[in-house]
Amino acid sequence: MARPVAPSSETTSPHQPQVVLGAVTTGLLNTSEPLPLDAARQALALVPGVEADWRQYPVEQVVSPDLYLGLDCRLAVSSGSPPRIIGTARARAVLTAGHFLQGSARVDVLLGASKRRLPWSHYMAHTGVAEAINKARPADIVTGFLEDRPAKSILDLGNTGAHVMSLLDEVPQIDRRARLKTQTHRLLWAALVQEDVEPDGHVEAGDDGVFRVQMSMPSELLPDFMEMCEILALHHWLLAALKNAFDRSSRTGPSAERELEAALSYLGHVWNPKAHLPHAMRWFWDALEDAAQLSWEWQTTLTRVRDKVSLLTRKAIEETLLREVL
Amino acid sequence: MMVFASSDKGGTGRSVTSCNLAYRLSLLGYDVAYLDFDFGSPTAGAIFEISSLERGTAEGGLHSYILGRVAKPMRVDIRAVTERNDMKTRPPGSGKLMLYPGDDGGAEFALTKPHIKKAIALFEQVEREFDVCIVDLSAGRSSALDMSLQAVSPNVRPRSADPVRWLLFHRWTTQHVIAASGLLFGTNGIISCAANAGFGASEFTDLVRTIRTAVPDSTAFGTNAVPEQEAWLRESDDILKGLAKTRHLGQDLLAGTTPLEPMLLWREQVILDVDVKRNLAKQATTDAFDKLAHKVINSHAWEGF
Repeated sequence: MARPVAPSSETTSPHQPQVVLGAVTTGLLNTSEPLPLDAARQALALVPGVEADWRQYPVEQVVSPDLYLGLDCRLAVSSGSPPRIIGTARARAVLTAGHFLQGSARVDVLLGASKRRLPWSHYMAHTGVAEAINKARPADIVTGFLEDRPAKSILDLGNTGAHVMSLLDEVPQIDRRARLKTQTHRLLWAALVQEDVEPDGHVEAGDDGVFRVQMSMPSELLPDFMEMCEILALHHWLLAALKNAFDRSSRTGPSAERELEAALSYLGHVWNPKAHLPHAMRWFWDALEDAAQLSWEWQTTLTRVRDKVSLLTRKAIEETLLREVL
Repeated sequence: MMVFASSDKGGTGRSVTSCNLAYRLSLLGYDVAYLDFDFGSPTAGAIFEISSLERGTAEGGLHSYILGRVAKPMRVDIRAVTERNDMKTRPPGSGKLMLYPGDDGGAEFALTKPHIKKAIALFEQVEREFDVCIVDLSAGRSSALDMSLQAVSPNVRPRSADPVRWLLFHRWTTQHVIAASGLLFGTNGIISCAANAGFGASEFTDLVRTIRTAVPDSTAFGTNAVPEQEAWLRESDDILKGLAKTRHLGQDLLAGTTPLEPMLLWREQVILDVDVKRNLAKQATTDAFDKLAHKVINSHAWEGF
């Protein structure tokens, strides 16, 4: 029931990657009801012969095996010419509570390994790693990546995540009848790997609705950090979806009852950011909660939704009684 | 819900009516996406008054997406980028209004299976976020039209999915009625394409409704219309109604009519309520768009024509 921790490649690689980039794409699985655990485990076994990891408590979660996707592209940088990287990105699908699907992609960037493109077998020996063949400063790579200006032949890990999510489109249980209107979100993260520093980082919420997380840390914390980013992405998405449903329920067009019913039955029970949060990342989450108060906002919004359902019910009862009297 | 907008010829007011329809639907509280599939001349940017997208986007629009050049099509929040001041604010209780622009210089393409797959994925994606997704197709037959039919055919779209509507826009003239009927029922027309895509002929006809655009009334003669002119107009209208009926474009298929609107003749744009207040546009025009918006969204009205 444990999730894979150490990436196999790093033990064999002579160099440590200096920068690790990642993106988490989050959305609702397009089903009317959540996928049962056994169906989810089947659906997320994306690599033949490899089972998906899963855990049942406190929140059901299934994690697909890692997929590796070939890369030969450039990295956006904040200054200088964009370096070319060659190698593979690793990506996985994460399904939480049978309904919330995430595509999580990551690439470890190795700087200064070689000055020209080597045979593909070289890169295949270090999966999940991409080597830059031009010089670049790690800090410039981090800033450039987090700016997220999509352009031709520039690395776009958000799309890699979306691609992994789309692999589940063919699953027979997906009836395409989700009752909640939702938008897919992305979170971008970047880590500067420094072995001798205390981990330190920050989160930025952009105007475009994208969360950007940046951290310097020793390499051993990377898997925990990545998992925390997935948890943050999921809970940011849950909050946005609930607020969107509440907003829609106040309009004349869509039916208020239907919106609120879907919001409550899909989202009402799943807020639990600390459920699978790695211990090593608790300090970061607590600091984030202190500043952004995501859990408080969730509770308030959920209370508003429930209050509105109560008021609408009362109104409906009164109208029925009135009709009977008349 | 997917709503496709097609027309027999250019200049029927298909795009401008569809843009107005999208705007009115958003005012009614629905989240609306407008997909510019008029690959030859994407004009939705101009109608929504977004100068950077007047002729479509320079890169990454729907045409690029369908051809597989970008993984994700560009989209813009119309209210955030329009230069029309009165359209910038989102009134309380209104929904989102998103434009997926076409590409500047996009052109016809030979339709292949990967294109259809892209279209299916795109439709699924927008339907999950928006209540109404309006797809503006170019005039006449096109690959985009074929692709759309294949992408919503019963072979690929579950029957439990949201409804599909097909709107056929035509001007209220003899030539346009004949052309519209030809486009719908003729050999290689929309219905025969739909049948090739896997629809039953009558099943597809149930999805189609017509919209008569720029229909004149006696005010078209000016304020002092004489009785002879009014009589002539009535007679012409009756002749056209007879023609439409014999061409199977009668009342049973009619979703609505839009009046002749000078504001739209001069400048193809979205008509706002303030335009009516300032006496620039006719009340009848926004009423017609509103009526159309209600009809499009209301399944009951759609079935009960």
